[in-house]
Amino acid sequence: MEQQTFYYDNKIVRLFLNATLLWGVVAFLYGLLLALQLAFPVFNLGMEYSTFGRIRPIHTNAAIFAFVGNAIFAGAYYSMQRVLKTRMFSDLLSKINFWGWQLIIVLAALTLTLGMTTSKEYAELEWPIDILIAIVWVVFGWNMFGTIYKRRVKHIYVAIWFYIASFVAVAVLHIVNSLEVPVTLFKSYSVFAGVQDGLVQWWYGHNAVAFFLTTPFLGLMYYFLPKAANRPVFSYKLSIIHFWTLVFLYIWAGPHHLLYSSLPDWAQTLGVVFSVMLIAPSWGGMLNGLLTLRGVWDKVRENPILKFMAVAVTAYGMSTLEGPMLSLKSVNAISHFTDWTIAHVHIGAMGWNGFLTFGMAYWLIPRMYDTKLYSIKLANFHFWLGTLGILFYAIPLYWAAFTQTLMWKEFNADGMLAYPNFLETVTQIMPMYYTRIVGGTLFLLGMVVMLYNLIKTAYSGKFIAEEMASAPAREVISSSRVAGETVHSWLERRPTPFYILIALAVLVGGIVEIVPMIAIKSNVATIATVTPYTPLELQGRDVYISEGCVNCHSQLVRPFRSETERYGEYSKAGETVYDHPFLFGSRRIGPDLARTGVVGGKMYKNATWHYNHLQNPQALNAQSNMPPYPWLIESDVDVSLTEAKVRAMMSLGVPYTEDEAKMANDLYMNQANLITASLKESGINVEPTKKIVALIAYLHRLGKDITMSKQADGTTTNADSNTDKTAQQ
Amino acid sequence: MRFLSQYYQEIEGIEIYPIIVLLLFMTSFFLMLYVILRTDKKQTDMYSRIPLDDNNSEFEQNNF
Repeated sequence: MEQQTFYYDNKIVRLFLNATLLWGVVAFLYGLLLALQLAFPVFNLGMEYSTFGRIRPIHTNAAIFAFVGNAIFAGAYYSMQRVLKTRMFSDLLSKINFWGWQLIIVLAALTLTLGMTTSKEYAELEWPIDILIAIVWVVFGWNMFGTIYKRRVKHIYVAIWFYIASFVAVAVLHIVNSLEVPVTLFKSYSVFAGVQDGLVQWWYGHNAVAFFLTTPFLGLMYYFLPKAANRPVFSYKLSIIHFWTLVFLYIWAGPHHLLYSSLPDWAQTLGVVFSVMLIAPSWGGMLNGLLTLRGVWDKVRENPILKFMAVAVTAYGMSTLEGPMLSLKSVNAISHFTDWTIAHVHIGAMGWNGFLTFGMAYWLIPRMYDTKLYSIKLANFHFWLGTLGILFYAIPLYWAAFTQTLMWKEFNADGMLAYPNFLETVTQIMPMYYTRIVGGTLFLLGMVVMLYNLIKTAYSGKFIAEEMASAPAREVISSSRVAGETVHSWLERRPTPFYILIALAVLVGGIVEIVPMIAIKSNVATIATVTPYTPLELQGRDVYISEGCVNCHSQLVRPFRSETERYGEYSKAGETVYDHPFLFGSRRIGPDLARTGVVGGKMYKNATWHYNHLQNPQALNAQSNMPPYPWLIESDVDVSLTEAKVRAMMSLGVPYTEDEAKMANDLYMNQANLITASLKESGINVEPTKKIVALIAYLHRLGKDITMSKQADGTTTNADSNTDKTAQQ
Repeated sequence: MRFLSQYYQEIEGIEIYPIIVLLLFMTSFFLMLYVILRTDKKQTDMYSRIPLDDNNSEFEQNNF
């Protein structure tokens, strides 16, 4: 065969690696700021742009899509060229991929800071950015598939399979979960509502973890771990088995995020069963990684790259055992809404994604600069800073989670809640929040040490932008199977049917889960007294979304006595049929708000209390860690959009009448005037168009519907929620 | 949670779903297992060395 000489493109790898390191610092800094804000509210800095509710999605998006996302591209662009023995398909597509992705990150940071958010976790970005993400993702896929087609080798190495599965799954997840009706350039409503929206969101959310934080990183592990250890993969057969099992099983696990919610039981059970089954392929991958190090453990002692990778793979194993455990209903009853989830994801993000990325960066930079690492001692120092950082971060949070959940659930001898004041459970875990700050600081310091080490390394060498390589041209073989060839081997050299099979394996789970949920008409579960939000409440809901209240407050009372005693009646599917998007939340840093509108209920507070509390929470509760929201009193709701918002909801099937749409602002002002009048009685003068009025109206609506019962003449009256027919079923 | 069971009733033949899913998974899993275990070990050993076989570039060296 003719030997061909060609050049690998290292420029694109360096660009993505630089971006990884830059955005890594940003993501960790934002994480540290959040940790400080939770312990000391003063770090909310008194501005709407820097409150916890807006910073939290910036941190998660920066960590997932900016830090990990760029690391995926850096590693994939490096490894793909080498295992396929060809340059990337198109330098132009590589550049569009890079600059497009950075543009998305900058736009994300700007819009989230300004409160433009869909509120759906890890999918907070508004519709124009969603479209941009889809385009850039397709560019990446196009470049990858083009490279695969022009490869010089017959076999497509297993790392590439993981990249393909990630590409297919992320494309589908992103498009389905981002289906929304635009109202303005930066405001839209999810086409799904309530529990359906919850299922779609967590089908996406869980699989963002699966196909963005896991499968591409397994691809990186299968390339960089053997390279760093200079050992072949322990078992290639195991890698194939765990690949197919993983991509097939992962997609089903999403509903475990909605256990004890009003999601149908069959969907919850499906999520649990498949989550437990996931242990097998996940541990198959972890063991394959760790066993690749067999015979070179002596090297692990002296080589920091291998240290980072060994801890990364171990963290992967721990996370993927803990995940299925958390999906068991009995464990989830304890863990959900607590810091356990936060600790769990950080073992994955800091340990698995962070450490594998660090190992990869320490391995790549000296090679691309044709030099040696500046300081092995500093790399070892970084390893210990990082490891201690993870431990100081996660262990206090596990402690905090157990403490808080036990306090939430404790009853005294009289059968009353032992800690009826939610705030008591927050102040109790403050020492753990202080320790978390230490963990985050150590992890960030480690990153700074790495940056110094890598910059010094780069200066000591010379960057090889075009790396020469040679390989024989690919043998042309018949497109059908040849004698003695197994089906899998044949598939591996035939990319198109291979893609289709991967897509099928990934999609079948989503289809079986999602389609039955979507097929149910949303009005099936409608409770007779549940009506659409008034225009004022709708605008108030958008203020709630924009301020990121959902990041600290759930709206989902689970059917436990400890919750119904604290909050009121448990949540029902029929209550949320007009909720575009759903706002169940995933963490209770503050109390649940699903029943704040139930007059006489445990969570009800009058308008004056809400006004004073939102203006300065610490004036009411000195130990509260909620940020103050004084700007809600100064800022106006954009009432010019009220009718457009009502009409957008109508297009989604929310039963507003034409008159209600036309008179949206009249209805808005009528209701707002009632609230301002009630505030005036307490000596508070506020204009009806201020955001705080809309937000109070929304808070006073939550849970109100199920306390009403419909009379024969169509009017509604207050009634004991236990008489609600739905609740009795 | 009996309230939630109404969802079951709205989907015709819902009870068959988990069984189809289980059969689908088990069939594909065993089929895959059979195909992979039949694959020649020499061949998979060769595949597992692919990342190590790109050492033909002009500067590849062990930098540690």
